[in-house]
Amino acid sequence: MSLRAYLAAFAAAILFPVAVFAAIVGYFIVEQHRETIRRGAHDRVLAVSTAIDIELLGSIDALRALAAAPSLARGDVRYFRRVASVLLADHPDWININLALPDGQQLMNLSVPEGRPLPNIGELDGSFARLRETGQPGISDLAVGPVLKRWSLAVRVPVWERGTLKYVLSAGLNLDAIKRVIDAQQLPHGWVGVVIERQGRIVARSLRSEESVGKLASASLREGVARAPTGWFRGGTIEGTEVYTPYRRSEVTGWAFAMGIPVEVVDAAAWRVAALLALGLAAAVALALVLARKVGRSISGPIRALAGATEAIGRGERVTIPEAGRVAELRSLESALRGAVKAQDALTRAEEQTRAIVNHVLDGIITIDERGTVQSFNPGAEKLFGFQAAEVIAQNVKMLMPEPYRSGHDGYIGNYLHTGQAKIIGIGREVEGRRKDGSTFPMDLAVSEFRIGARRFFTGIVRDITERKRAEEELRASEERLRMALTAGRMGNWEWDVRTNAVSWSPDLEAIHGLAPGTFAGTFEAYKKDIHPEDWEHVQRAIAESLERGEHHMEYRIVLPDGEVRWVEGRGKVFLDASGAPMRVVGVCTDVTERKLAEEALRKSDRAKDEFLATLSHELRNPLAALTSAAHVLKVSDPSRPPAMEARMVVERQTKHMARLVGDLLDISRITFGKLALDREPLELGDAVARVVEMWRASGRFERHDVSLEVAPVWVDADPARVEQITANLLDNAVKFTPAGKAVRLSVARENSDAVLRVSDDGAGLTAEAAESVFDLFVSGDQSAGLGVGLALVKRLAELQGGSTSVASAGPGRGATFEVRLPAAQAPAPRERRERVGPAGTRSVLIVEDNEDARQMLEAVLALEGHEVRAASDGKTGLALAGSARPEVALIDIRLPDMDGYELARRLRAACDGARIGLVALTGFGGAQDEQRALDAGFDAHLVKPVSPERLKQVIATLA
Amino acid sequence: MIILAEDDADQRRALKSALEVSGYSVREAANGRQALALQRERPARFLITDLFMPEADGMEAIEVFHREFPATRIIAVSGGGERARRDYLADATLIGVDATFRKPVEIEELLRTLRAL
Repeated sequence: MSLRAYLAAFAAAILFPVAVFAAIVGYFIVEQHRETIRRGAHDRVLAVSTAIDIELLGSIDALRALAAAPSLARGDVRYFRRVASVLLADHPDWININLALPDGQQLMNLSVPEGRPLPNIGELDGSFARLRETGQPGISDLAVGPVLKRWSLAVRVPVWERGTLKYVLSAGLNLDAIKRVIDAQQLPHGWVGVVIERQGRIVARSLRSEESVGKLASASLREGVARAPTGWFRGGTIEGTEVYTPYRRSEVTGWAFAMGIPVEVVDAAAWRVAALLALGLAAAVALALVLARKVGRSISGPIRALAGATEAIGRGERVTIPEAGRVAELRSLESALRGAVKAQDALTRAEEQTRAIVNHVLDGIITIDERGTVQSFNPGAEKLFGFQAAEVIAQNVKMLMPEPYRSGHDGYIGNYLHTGQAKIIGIGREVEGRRKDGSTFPMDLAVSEFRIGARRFFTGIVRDITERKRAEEELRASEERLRMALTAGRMGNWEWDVRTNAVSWSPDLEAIHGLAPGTFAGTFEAYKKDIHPEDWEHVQRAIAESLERGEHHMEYRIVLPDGEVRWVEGRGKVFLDASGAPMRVVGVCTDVTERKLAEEALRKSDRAKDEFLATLSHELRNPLAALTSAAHVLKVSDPSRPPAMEARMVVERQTKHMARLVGDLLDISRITFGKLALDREPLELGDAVARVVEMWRASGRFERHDVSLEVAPVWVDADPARVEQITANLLDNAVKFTPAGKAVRLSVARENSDAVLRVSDDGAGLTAEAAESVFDLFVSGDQSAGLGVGLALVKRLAELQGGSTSVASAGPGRGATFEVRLPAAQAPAPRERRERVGPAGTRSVLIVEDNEDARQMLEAVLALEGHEVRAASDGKTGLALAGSARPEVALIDIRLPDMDGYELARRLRAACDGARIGLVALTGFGGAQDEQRALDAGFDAHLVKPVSPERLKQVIATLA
Repeated sequence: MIILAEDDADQRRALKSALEVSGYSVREAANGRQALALQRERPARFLITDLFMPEADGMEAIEVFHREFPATRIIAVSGGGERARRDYLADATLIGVDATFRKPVEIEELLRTLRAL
């Protein structure tokens, strides 16, 4: 069944009840219409009937009034006749008035002149009988009267005299008056109005009135009227016209009024309505059919076209989807089909792309079945493995694998198929491939699985990663090198993600911060926590500026977990994102603590050197000042008098002081360059210290202080001269910093395995900070009071002899205690003790010295000792004197104007020809090298200027 | 009459002797405070003072001498260790000493200056 037939049936199914309903509605409309007409007709009939009643009743009332005329009561018929005449003249609806006795015998008739005999009208109709019977006024039937000889009728009223009917007064009605009532209705054309009296005779009629009066009305009307007072029936007129007839019969008069409405007038309207309905129905049916056809066509056409396109798509053909017209559902279908076509196109393109990729990709793509048989082998794989696809397809994929993969492969597949446990599928891993030429290469292998029906296939994508492996290896090596470099340089690198605030550190940086690898919390806050609080602001500023400038370079301190403070140098570079905002900062930190300490030490030592030079100048000028004054006194005064004696004391003390100063400096220099030679021997420390104290006391240097000494014997293995130096320097320091009158205490004691020398004073004391550096070189407690050499030398000399130094002070102004510890030694056997001072005796001494002052001083000193002294100012003179005087001892300045001291020494040795002569070198150079050179040249001793009289005495004694 | 203010005893004694043997009468002070005390006791014609001494500094002593004893001639002596510091002798000149010497003082020169003053 076609769509069109369906649509037609559908339309018919809808139209049928509509048609039935329309018929019912049409019927009701026709009936309604008829009813309307009928009701209107009835109303009109009632109105006309009532109007006729009023006409008749009016006549009766008028006649009743006449009946009450006194003349009639008197029986004066003649007079009454005149009264009636007047009334008749005034009453156009009447045509006659008569008076009769109750039996019908007329007494008077205005249509008959007076005096003429009058007929009895009692039997003319039944009206007299009715009147006599009822005593009520009435209307006569239509009859042809004996007087007028035409159809007429009259109203009759009784005239009573003392309760007895005396007369019957009648008025003949003008039938035209009745007709006028009908005419007043102005009935539509074709309609007929008719009034019939009690006997069914026509009184008046709207049509052909003359002919009809007196005739009997149609039988149907008469029957209807007789049957019911009102009614409606269909019948014919006397002319034979088919009419509907409404009628009413008056209860008062017994007359009826009927109207004839032509049947076609009533039914034509109903039929018009019915025809319109039928026409509408027909139009609806026709429209439905046309629409069904048209709609059917507009749907079925596109559907057929789309169906064709769909079939074409199904066959895989490229099609153009036809337009689907205006139906929304069809358009959806069309767009769905277009989508399908597009999807098909995309699928086709994707297939082509995939094919192109598979054919052109550098990766090898190999498909195998579950037995390992190669199904496909793309060009990339050909290139990688060196096989042509044809050589591999249908072979087992194992041929592409070296051992151990080769033997294991069947097992791998079997295992996977059996257990479903993937070792490589969907995971990927690095394996080795084997080329056609047998060489192997590392490759990434990714395997995926797919099924076609019940068969399972595996696709492997392989990539040669030789280059990557090498790059990785290089990267690893380079990272290793970097790590080594960082470790060696105490460097660590870091990275700060500005947006997340995450900070990552290399293990080296963690090490610099004293953290175990991997324990850095990784936040900027954790980094901040390590920074020295005093440096944080500066670091923060540097970082903030770097975010603008792009890099930073700063130095700051960090506090390690154990509290150690270290210096770090940081360099960082900022990397920006595409919008130019800082994204991350990458940097390197270097532990520069050693460098900073070295710099600091350098600065300190530089400062100390400047101080030292200034102080040295001062320190040298002070003894010089005293010496200058003393020299003046000696020059101008009597040598035997007190000023000269005092001057000589000054000279002795100040020269000693200067000698010690210069000696200390030289010793520092020797120690610094590792050239200080120690002449160690068993020494009783208490004894050695006591000797120094005695010497100082003798020279008057303790006169302002209360110096006490408490010694216990303890032996050490030490250089006596150095122990003396240590003691002297400690004393010098104590005296210098202790106000006059205060105490200085020395003690020597054995404590465990140490010999301990302590020098305490009630002097200036030290701060803890000063105590730390008090033994440092060129550090002086009072910048105007010392070179800062003495205590430094004490420390170094003690250390050189296996000892140590320390200082304790309760604080500034509360004194200080300096302590020197030397390892205690066994007391030697008595015979080993060296006799320190030789037997006194006078010698013949030659002095060769070009500096006149020095020469004279030496001469004076030696002469005072009782020696026989000769002096020369140059080498030649010296040789000559030696030849003549044969001295036992010669003191030779190394620097002479004509030859150096070494030369002179050799010549003297030669000149003396084996005779015993003690040669002593005098030199300003105190180095061990100088001493060795002197000994090599044949000197027996080497004295460094200035030479103290004691030392000179000692040397000469030993040489003798 | 000379008041000699010098904290180093040897220097003081040697210079005192040197001046005395040249005919001057010298009174010793170990610091500026003592020098002032001596001066107040019996004013001297000359003050020879070291610039750097403990207790009362030479500079302060010079100032007070100037104020209280304008007639006294003042000779300032410096230890000469001022290479790295300021030249205090120049300062002393500015505050109005009559002569300055750097240690070691050339005695003949000092005597000439004393005579000139």
